[in-house]
Amino acid sequence: MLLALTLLTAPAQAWEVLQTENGDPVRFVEMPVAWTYDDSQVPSDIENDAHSSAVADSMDVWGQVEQGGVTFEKDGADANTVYWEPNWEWDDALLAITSTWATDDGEIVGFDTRINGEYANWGVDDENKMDLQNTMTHEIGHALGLDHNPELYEATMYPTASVGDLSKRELEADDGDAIRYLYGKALEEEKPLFACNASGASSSMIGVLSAAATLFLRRRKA
Amino acid sequence: MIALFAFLLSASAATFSHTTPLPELAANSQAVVQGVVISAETRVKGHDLETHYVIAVEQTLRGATLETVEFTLPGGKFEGKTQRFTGIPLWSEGDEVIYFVPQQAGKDTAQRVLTVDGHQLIDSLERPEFPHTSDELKVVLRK
Repeated sequence: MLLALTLLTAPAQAWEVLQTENGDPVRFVEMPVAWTYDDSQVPSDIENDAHSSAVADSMDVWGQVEQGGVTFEKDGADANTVYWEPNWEWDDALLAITSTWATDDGEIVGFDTRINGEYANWGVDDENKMDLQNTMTHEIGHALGLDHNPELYEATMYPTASVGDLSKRELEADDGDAIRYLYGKALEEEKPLFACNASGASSSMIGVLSAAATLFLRRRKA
Repeated sequence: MIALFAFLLSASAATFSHTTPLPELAANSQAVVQGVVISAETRVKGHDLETHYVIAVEQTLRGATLETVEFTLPGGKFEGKTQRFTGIPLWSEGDEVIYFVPQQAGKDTAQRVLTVDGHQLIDSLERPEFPHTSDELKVVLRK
């Protein structure tokens, strides 16, 4: 009874991280993460310099995670680039896409984030537009090694956004947990119970459940 | 042979999204097949990598019967480095996959899947909630 009550009241966790073929998390090994912003192709309908601040602020929010261990350096050596892609070859429905380059053991050695420059409704702080900072905060999560969190709509790493949505600018607790799993010094000696699954959904609660019942666990390939 | 770009899932690596019901995805596909990756060749494309896959079809779950399907996806592994695009799988030879063969090629193939209920996909080509086994998928597809 006590067990059941514990399970029912346990906070939902659903974060996921990118993994190598061997199941190792994909992440930076050294800090700070150098980045630069190329605004040479920024759409003309985005007003003033708000886009530059939006990109910078999207980095800051990840760096502010308590015990998160992530730091950034703008225009540092070998900087990873955030840029506007005016000739969008991806699906029109995609707002942006981030790719990471990593070694076989999961060390991220680079990333780039390309923003859909053909999308016609970008804005910053405009309830009638798709918020750039909202999108970029999500993308930087990917750059740091986080995967989508399809279970928690409020999470920054939830895969979709709507016009006027600002909710992903601020991280949910679940997003912070993911970043602490990857980078947090506080967790270095306290690995999650089922770390090989690299998923918040598979931590202690599922550890208990799996011993008692058949439970489907998602496996995500690199 | 079909050289196309989207609507695919790994049977062992199902991803979840609430954007599209599976029946809708199936209805917009000319076929749904289960097969094994028999070739995965990565090549450089500009500053990126892309991988060309050949799938040997073992079972047609819905629609036209095909022997093999081919398609190219962004990302891959080259000279010791792996480029990953979120939501896009990286497969190796021998991986078992389920593939939703799109009606037609083109970059708009995933749009109808991804823009639902006023929401827009921030990135990736994530697929909808997916049954755990091909048998379960068959049940869904028959509905």
